[in-house]
Amino acid sequence: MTQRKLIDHAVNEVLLAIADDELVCGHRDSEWCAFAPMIEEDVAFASIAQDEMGHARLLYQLLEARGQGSLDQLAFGRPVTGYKNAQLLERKNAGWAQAIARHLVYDLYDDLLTGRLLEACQLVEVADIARLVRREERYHLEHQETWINHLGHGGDGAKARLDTALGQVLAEAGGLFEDLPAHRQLAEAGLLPGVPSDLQIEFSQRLSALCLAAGLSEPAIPSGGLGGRLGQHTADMSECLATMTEVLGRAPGAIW
Amino acid sequence: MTDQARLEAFEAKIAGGEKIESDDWMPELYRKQALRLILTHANSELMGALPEREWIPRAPGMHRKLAVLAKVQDEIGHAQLIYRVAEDLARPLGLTRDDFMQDLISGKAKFHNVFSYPAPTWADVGVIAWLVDGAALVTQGALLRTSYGPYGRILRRICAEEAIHLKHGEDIVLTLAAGTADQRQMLQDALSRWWEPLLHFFGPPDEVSPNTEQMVRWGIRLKSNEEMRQEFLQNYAPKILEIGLLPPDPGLRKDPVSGVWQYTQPNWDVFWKVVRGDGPKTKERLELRRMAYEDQLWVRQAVRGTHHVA
Repeated sequence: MTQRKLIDHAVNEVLLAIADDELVCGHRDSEWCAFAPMIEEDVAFASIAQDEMGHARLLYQLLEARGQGSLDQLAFGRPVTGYKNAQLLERKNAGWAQAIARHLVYDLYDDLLTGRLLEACQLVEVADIARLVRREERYHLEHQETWINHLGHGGDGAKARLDTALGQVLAEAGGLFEDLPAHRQLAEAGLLPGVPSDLQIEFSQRLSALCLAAGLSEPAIPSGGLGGRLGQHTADMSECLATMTEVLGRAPGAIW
Repeated sequence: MTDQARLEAFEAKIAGGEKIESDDWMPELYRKQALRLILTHANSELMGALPEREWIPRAPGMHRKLAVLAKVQDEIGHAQLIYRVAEDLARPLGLTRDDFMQDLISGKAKFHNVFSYPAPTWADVGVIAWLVDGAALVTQGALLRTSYGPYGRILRRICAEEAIHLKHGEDIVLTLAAGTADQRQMLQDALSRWWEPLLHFFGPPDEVSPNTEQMVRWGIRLKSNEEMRQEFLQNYAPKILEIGLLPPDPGLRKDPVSGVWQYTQPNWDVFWKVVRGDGPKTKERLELRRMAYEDQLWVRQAVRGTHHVA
């Protein structure tokens, strides 16, 4: 491959990882719709889900424009090993404390990813999407902050549930910060100012400050859940993909 | 002012086309009847989200997935708006949203029959959004002039959103109708399944409720069941036939002279059975609501606790 082709390939890999994160996160969020703790939150989580999947759509459309296949082929037409999302995001929903803990971790990571790395990307299409994504993610982060304050100050039982959920989430959150060879190639070529693993220290500092302000325990350092970026997934991802493609698979090629 | 004088002033207000507001004096029976109607609507929006939400994760393609999600979000948003109106109306009775939820889960409060039916295929999603929402738009449109001001105002927004849902449903239906033989069959099966619930939607033709006359005089009810069913058939039957679908009723036809749609009466025993809480999915869906409500009790308690501290 020529240098130009190598870089193009690396850009595609990186975009796919971000898009897959947003798709799977939005899918899990959407599964809360109608079952959140209160009606107001059904509406809020459905809104967040639409934002996340809307971001995925923008990124897949950019990949489509880069000749990588159609939007729906990209979003729903790959084998499970072709998906590059972090394992944490594919995990099945497991109660409201997990929903808030996972979203907080993801939103904070996403804020850093877009703000520190992608907005500074030398490819203007990527930087533009990053700015738009970050503008919306700020509200998600605010939403989760409100929630951790409610739960952290909402009695010992609620605090304990959220502490436990955060511990479980962080024990699988290492995969968010996993660098692909593609990330390093783009950093070396000067197209990105760094790689995802560079974000971990600031992530932990900010998470710690948020948790302490909310009356929660000191959070652990993200670890575990590795391999998603390389296409290694849990059984939850296979289930997720089977669900997402149930109708599409009934008549491949048909228009729905 | 005596109660009689108050009642006369109240009725004169309604007769003059003025709206009743939440803090106006109103007869106890008006408050209760309006609350019952409004709560049934709110419960229906909330329960109506359940059949369609099953299809959000499975929706074919990104565009449909986002559209169905937005649609279900609208329905739950409607429930929220309507419960807020009901909360104001119910305050003098000492009732809160928790009471509304308990009554819904226990089966004491009603929700619309149509949400007791299964949605087994993607085509059902299209038929629900097109025809069930179409039927709902007929009944809600009839209530736009309701005498209870707060309800009428939110109905304007709700109807505007429902009109968009119809387009979304119609688009799914037309896509399937223009699709493969399998897709067309799926669509026809869905229509055949929903036909009887759709005729049931507006209630029996001969209304027997002892309160009907007063509900009409007080501007809570504005059109008869049969008037609304005719409006629905007039709007949708020609379109259904035009795209080559067959309603499962050989007797369906428009009388060329009177313009009235003739149809075979659906089985009203089934209607009453569903009203009594014995629809094919009534118990299962209420059980889902109960589980979600009770599993998350700790969250609501935590939030309320925070409010007390602040």
